[in-house]
Amino acid sequence: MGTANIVEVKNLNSAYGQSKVIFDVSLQIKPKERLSIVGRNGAGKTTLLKSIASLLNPTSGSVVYDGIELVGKPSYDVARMGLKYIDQDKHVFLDLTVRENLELSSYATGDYDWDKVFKHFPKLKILIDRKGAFLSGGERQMLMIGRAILGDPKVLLIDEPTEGLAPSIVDDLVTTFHELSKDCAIMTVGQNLSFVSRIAERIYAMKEGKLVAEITDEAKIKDNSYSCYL
Amino acid sequence: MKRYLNSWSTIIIVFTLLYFLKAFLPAAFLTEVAIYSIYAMGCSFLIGRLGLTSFGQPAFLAFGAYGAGIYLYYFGTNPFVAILVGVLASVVVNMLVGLFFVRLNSSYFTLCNQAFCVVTFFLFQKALVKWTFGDNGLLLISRMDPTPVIDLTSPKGIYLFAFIVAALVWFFYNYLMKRSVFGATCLCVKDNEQKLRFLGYKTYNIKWLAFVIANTTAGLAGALYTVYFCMVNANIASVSSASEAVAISMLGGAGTLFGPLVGTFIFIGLKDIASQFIRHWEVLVGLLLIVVMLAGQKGIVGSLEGYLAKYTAKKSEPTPALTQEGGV
Repeated sequence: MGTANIVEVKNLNSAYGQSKVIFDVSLQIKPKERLSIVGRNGAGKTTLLKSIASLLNPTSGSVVYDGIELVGKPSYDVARMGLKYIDQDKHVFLDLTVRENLELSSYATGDYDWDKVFKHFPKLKILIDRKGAFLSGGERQMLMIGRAILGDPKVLLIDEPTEGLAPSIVDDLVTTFHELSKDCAIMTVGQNLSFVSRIAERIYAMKEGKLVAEITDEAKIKDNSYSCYL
Repeated sequence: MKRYLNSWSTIIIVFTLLYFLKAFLPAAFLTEVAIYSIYAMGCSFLIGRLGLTSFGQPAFLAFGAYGAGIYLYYFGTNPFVAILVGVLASVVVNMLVGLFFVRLNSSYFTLCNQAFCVVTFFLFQKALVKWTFGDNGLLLISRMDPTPVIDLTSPKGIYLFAFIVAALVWFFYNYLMKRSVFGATCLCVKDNEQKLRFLGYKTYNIKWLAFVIANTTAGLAGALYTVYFCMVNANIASVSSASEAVAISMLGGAGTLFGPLVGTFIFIGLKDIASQFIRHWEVLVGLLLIVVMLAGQKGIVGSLEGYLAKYTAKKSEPTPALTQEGGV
């Protein structure tokens, strides 16, 4: 499997207490691909992402990343292995400056090459001494992705990357995601179908905790015809 | 670099000024301020930087104090060694207790620390009474030998030493809070612990180390307290004084560098001066605390820093990032 898929999820089930949210989900992420999961509110997209990133312990099933079983591993170990999760709430450390936020990530990963961050997000260089609390939603998203790409991760899991962002920033993100996917796989979840159509090479449609369709046809992805599955 | 030098020089200026305040204020009061501010610093760090409020600080003060006291009573006569023993005793206890307590969050952490304080008080008052003499305590006045360079058995010596130690503690915390990655991670634990894990940090280790550092600072204050007062009894661990360190931290500004010093100065000042005129001087502290909290919940230093930041921001030129690029 190691060469074909960087992440292999098999029969994953997750729950919050007694409330089961994810039902027997199986999926694969290939190296350097752009994959999206789409679905309505409450479909279980975020829960699935959290289960893969070990932020939530699945009730059963397995998540294998680069040949290593992730279920039961703490989230900080998973992050160190190169599977990074970016939350949807655009939360950066508010009392720290952009520089300090990046330093934290560099210290954890040993990667101090900030040029690659500034290559994708030149604006962060201008904002380097501004505190997280004074960044806009778009700037926070840049910083969160910038932090995540330090340490050369193999997979980025990004929850609702366009939520609350201005259209011009969404356009920038499309370009950025295409650039980033030259080095790592990107899996996003969200409801912004026009964004998904512009970035995804493959799509899973999710409904009521189950994957109901896999769309690989480029034409179908471009014309949003997968929306019938939602 | 300029900022770096400024913060070091500010600490030196503040403590030098405080030291020479003895021309106007009693040396005993200022010594107590120096020692108690060290005690408050640990608590302030826990609250302001980690978001952990502890009502068990007297226990951590007591382990340092008894470490020094037991050494002087049973084993030796050198007060410097006694302080070292007090700190070591404190480190060992904090390392063990921290293993369990930092697993707890918010209210549970607060209450467990308070319970630990009750247990510690019982330990020194009753369980170990054969060695600690309970409420009577260990009297050490004739058990300390004069020391070279700085004589800790003389009021002048302990006054100077307390200020040197306090300044060193401030240097250390200045580095910890403003210059180190560890200090930044502590702040992030308070802000959003889960997000820090996403970056690959094991937050349990961060909290444990911060707990040990903060409470060892309290232990250091306890050891100094024993040498200064030449005695230690079980009341040092009394749960009735558990809120003092928290009140001082909140009053001065939890998590700020000089908050514990300002808070201690006001607290000890009210205790020493107002208690001569008002029987229940704690009422004044309570009222002051309410006013300061209502004014912005940042304490005196925290609020002043906020005003100062606004003032300097108004005076300085807007950055290109703000004017040209704008917010996204």
